[in-house]
Amino acid sequence: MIFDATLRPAFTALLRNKARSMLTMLGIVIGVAAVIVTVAIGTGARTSVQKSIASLGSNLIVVQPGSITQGGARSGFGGASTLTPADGLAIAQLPGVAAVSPVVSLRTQVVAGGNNWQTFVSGVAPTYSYIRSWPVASGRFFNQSDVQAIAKVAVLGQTVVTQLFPGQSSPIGASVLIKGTPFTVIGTLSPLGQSAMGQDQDDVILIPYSSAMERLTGLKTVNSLMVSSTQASQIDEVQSAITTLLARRHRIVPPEPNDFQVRNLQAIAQAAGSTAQVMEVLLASVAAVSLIVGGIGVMNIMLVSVTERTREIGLRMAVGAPGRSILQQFLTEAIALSSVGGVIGVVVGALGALLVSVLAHWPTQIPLPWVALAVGFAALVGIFFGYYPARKAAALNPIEALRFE
Amino acid sequence: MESVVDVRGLRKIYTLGQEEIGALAGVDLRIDAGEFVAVMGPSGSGKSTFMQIVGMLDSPSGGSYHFEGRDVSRLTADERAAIRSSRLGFVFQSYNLLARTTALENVELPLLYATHPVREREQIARAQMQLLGIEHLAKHFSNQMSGGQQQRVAIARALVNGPALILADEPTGALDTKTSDEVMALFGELNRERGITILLVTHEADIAAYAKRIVRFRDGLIISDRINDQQRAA
Ligand SMILES: Nc1ncnc2c1ncn2[C@@H]1O[C@H](COP(=O)(O)OP(=O)(O)OP(=O)(O)O)[C@@H](O)[C@H]1O
Ligand SMILES: [Mg+2]
Repeated sequence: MIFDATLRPAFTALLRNKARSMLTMLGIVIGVAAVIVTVAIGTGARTSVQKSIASLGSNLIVVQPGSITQGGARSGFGGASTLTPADGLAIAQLPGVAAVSPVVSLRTQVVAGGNNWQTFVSGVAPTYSYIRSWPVASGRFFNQSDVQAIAKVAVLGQTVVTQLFPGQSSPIGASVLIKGTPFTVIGTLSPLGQSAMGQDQDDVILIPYSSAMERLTGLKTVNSLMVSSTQASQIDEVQSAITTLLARRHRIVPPEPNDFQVRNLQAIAQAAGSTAQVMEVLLASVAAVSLIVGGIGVMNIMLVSVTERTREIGLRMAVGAPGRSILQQFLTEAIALSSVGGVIGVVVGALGALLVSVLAHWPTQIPLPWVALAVGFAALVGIFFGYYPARKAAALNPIEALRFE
Repeated sequence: MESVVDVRGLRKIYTLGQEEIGALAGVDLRIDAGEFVAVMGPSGSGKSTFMQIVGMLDSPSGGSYHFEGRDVSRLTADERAAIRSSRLGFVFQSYNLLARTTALENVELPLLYATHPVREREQIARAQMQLLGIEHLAKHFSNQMSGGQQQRVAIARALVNGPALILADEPTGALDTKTSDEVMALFGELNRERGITILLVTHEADIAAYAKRIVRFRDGLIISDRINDQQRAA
């Protein structure tokens, strides 16, 4: 009954004017596709940021040197070099702290065999592998005795392996010259890939921090301390405990600013994530406005359709169609136009998102609730903009409609 | 006899801007079941206006109208639509078949708005076309048929719901004499053999001669109402 009196005439009418229906749908298609692509890019970016944060460890706290004031001129963060491995050991004693690793980093040219390569050398503790959840792919990570012995051992990231030892099955046992000092390769790291910022995380050589300080920098201080708390929920308490501890160890007297700063990666990530989400919602709303423009197109074509079919409407009324049935017929037509357009829009949007991730290498992800939302909104646009023309059709005077030329 | 149409003092006034046009000025007419009535009269005498009100497509400005004993002025729009669907059949001068639609689908149209199961519908429509000898036109589109054929399809459409009353406003107005006679013979047959009440408007005496009763309008009033004792059959 319902199908024959509403759905069938609606689809027959739409198929009869294929080109016109297509062009009308185009507005909706573009609107929905724009929403889907925007959301896909936004969600993809957010997920990949979250993933790389997770790969860093969500319990991660970073302690960096702060600024120092000398004669009124303040240096930037890191200007003060006050952090020492002893600070790290003290932090390790705090409750809620799972592991600490000092980080000494430098960028330098390294040589192995006939190949040389510019890379990052990081002096870290054996706990670093645990803190970053970064296991070795082959060989072993250095241990506490290597640190104590200031051993000349190195663990290579995968990019360094391919650059220094191309075509070789395993670099383990080979020697790498770092700033003129030969280090023996004892392991390779599993690949991490790009960071959220597009940095190659595998382009790195890890050595014991003691070796880095003694043999490469010659300094008593380190660049930063990486701390992982036992539980993500305790991260704030641990953070403030570290602040108190270091202030005491560095003998900071209150009005004086701390010569270090303690940052929590999760908080940084959340801040970045919520900014991204605000942007995403903003862009999606702009896209939704184009959907409304598409809706006006639907209304326009429905008004044309009602006028064209005035005699048909009059006849249907004469043979007993109640106003409600005429209203439903035209409303169905409008909803069909916009929701078919919505479904096509989702497909086009999904293809667009795929294209973006293939061509621009941006990670994209289409969240299902948004698909439902976009199609639902398109259908709603159809109801909203189809109601007036349908109402107009149902309110026609049958005699005048039958006489209409 | 049971009355199908019973109007008393029926009036209709159209307002065009400031001007008021009295189309019907107090019509009394009772049509019983099984009658075949022809309405005649000069142009502008209110015949079409009368048919539209009887067909519940328009409402009167005054007077009363009872259809099969029910006071039409007390019916809701949906109830009137339901009566149009199940008790009334319209035949127009200009056929009014849906364009780009087959004859069969045109005949099925009134069944969409009545309570008929989907599968029965085509059967009922085909049976009706068969009764009128036009089943071979089922798959023809409106523009692939002659005027006479289109009017037969329109009559099949008017009959498909098994109505009590057929309202035909100048059904032969666009047809030649031979085809007009064929269509009128069909009306006569439907009236005699199926007992369907017919109310028909015509300008031509030859056409009115097929009816059992002839009513004449002038200036919105009935000026004569007589039994046709020389009814034509074929
Ligand atoms: N919608 C309308 N608005 C205003 N006046 C109308 C309308 N319909 C009919 N009239 C007027 O009402 C009067 C009766 O018209 P009606 O159509 O009933 O005549 P008719 O007898 O059917 O004429 P014809 O034989 O030419 O078909 C005429 O004066 C006509 O101008
Ligand atoms: Mg007329």
